[in-house]
This record gives sequence, C-alpha cells and structure tokens, in this order.
Amino acid sequence: MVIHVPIAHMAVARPPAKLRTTGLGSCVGVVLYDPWARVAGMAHIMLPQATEGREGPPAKFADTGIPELVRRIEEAGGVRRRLRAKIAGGANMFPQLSNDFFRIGEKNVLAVRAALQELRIPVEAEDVGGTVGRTIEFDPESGKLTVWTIRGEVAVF
Amino acid sequence: MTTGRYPQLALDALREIFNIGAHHAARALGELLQVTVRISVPTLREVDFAEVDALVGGEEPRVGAYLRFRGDLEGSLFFLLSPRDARALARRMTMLLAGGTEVRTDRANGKEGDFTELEWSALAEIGNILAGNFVATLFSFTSLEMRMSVPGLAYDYALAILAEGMLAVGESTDEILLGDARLSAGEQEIRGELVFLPHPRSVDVLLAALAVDGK
Repeated sequence: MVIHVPIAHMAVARPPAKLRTTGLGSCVGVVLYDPWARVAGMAHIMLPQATEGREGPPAKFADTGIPELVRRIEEAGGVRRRLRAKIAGGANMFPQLSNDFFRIGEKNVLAVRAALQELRIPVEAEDVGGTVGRTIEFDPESGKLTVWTIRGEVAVF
Repeated sequence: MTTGRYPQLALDALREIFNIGAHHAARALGELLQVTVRISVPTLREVDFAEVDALVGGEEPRVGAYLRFRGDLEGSLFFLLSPRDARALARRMTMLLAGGTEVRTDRANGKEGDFTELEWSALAEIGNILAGNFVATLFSFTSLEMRMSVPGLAYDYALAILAEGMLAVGESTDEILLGDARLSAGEQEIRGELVFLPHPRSVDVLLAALAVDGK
C-alpha cells in the first residue's frame, strides 16, 4: 500500500505501507523515521514560516509542520531521539523569473534544516536544489527514499 | 471541500471575468496560429490544497508557461500542455513564422521533454499572447491595471509547475481560487489548459471594480 501525501499535508505509516508525494518543485518533502520502531512520517512543505495571521494545515509550513510530524510519529510509537530525516525538493522551477521571493525553494530548504536542527534530528540524506521537480517515495521497512524526476532519473537515498 | 470564504455571487462574478479573459486569450491564439481554437466552459472555484493534485493530474508531465501579474490585481496564469501537444503547437508557430515552411529541428535525442531553443521561445511567445490578451481584457472590463512578468517555462510534473503559483497566492489561506479552462486548437486537436490563480487580496479589489457585493 502506498499512502499519498498531498501538497501542504502529512501522513504517518508503518511497513508494509509506503509514503509517497508527487510533484515537489520548490516545495520540500520531509521524511522522518524511527528505524527501530519502523514508523515513518512524510510532509509536503510549501513555505518556510507560519507567521502571524497565516492559515493553513500545519504541514504547509516548515516551522509548524516538522514539530507536528514529530508529534504524530510519537503518537504512532516512534521515539524522538531515534528519529532521522531525509529531505528532497526545494528546486528553483523558474530560474528565468527568480527574484527574492521566488528563491522560495532555497528558503524552504533552510527553514526545514533549521527546524530539524532545533529538534536535534540528524539529516541522513538530502536531494535538494536544482531546477527540476521531484517525486519521492519512502519505505519504512528499508529506510530508503527513492527520488524520481520527470526525465526518468531515479536515485535512492 | 470549500469553507465558502466567498459568497456564490462573488465566485460567479470572478468566473465570468475569467471566462471573458480566457475567451479573448483563446481567440488571439487562434488568430496567431490561423486555426480555430475552441474553449470549454471555464470553471472557477475554491479548492483545498489537497484537491489540486487530482484536478491538475499532479504527476502528469506538462510543459507549462507561467506568468505572474502584479498591480491592482495580483496572481498568476499558467498555460499547461502535454509534451506532445507542446511540440505540435511550437511546430505550428515556428512554421508560421518561417512563412509556411516546416522548420527542421535538430534534437540530439528524441526525448519527450527535449525542446529546441526555437520551440521553447515559440511556447514562451504563446504564453505571452494568451496572458497579454487575458490581462488586456480584464483591464477593459475593470480598468484595473496589471503588470505581467516575462513568461517562465518548465517541463515538469504538473504539480511542481503549478505549486509555484499556489505558494505565491496561498501563503495566507488554506484554500486557493483556481480557474480552469481547456483549449483545443485545429484539426490536430492540440489541447491545453489555462489555469488562473488570483491572489485573495485581489479578490475584493476585483469585486469592487465589478460592483459586486463580496461580503
């Protein structure tokens, strides 16, 4: 079974279920997993910070999404100090149009790293930046993250 | 589903303005390509982020032209095509520019997403023409001014392309307004999709200009 994680959303899974999110452009896909308890969570994060007055599901923002993902993994039996992270995405989809705001991919990656650091969760693998979108799938059984691009490239982290 | 941030009357007014803008854009494209361009009845509604995947076929490969607009109205317009239709459209356009001769393209390999510079600039120009006419139509109905960005082009997952517009208009909401119209051109049945993402803070401006009570 593959659980699909929509944009700005998150989900938690145990084997044999896998977690998948599609079409990460400047968004960042964050996977947290406890290899011991074999429980994993995935979030499809759109923006760095939920500043005051901003609405949306917690997974929309790095600073609210990551603590919430940890909480849900703990609820499912994961242990915070055993968590490891793998992240992918944060591309610059339209380099022709780049300006400060639209380097949002980079900002997303920085915000995700900062949120993980604050929770002392080590980042085991990163496939970030560039100018192409990514689709990712995580297998809590093996701890492997597979990353595809539209041009058929596949990498396993 | 929707939480109904906007009353039906406001959504109807927005849909109508999108409808008119999309029709003018489609007609301009038809004149340019010297073919008939047909257009579906445009839809415009509030969609939850989670719904967008299903609406746009998130994992489908698309060539997308992306134009942002700023000014009285803010938001973005996308023109999305399958790689095959993008190629057919680019060929048609380059052929017309070359006075009817088919332009041989020198692709090193025939991969789906590989476009020549000429094809790519033809697609950017098509994006420009669609968006230019869309913005001009909105201006003539509302007197609201907008500046358009240069077109950005990408070959990628539909969602990776559209997300760029979604995060620009969706920072302060949990739903976005999404206008969708499908175009088809000529006997070859080239199909494309026009997606309109107005910024929520522009909605009140637009409704005031249309003299619609948005509250």
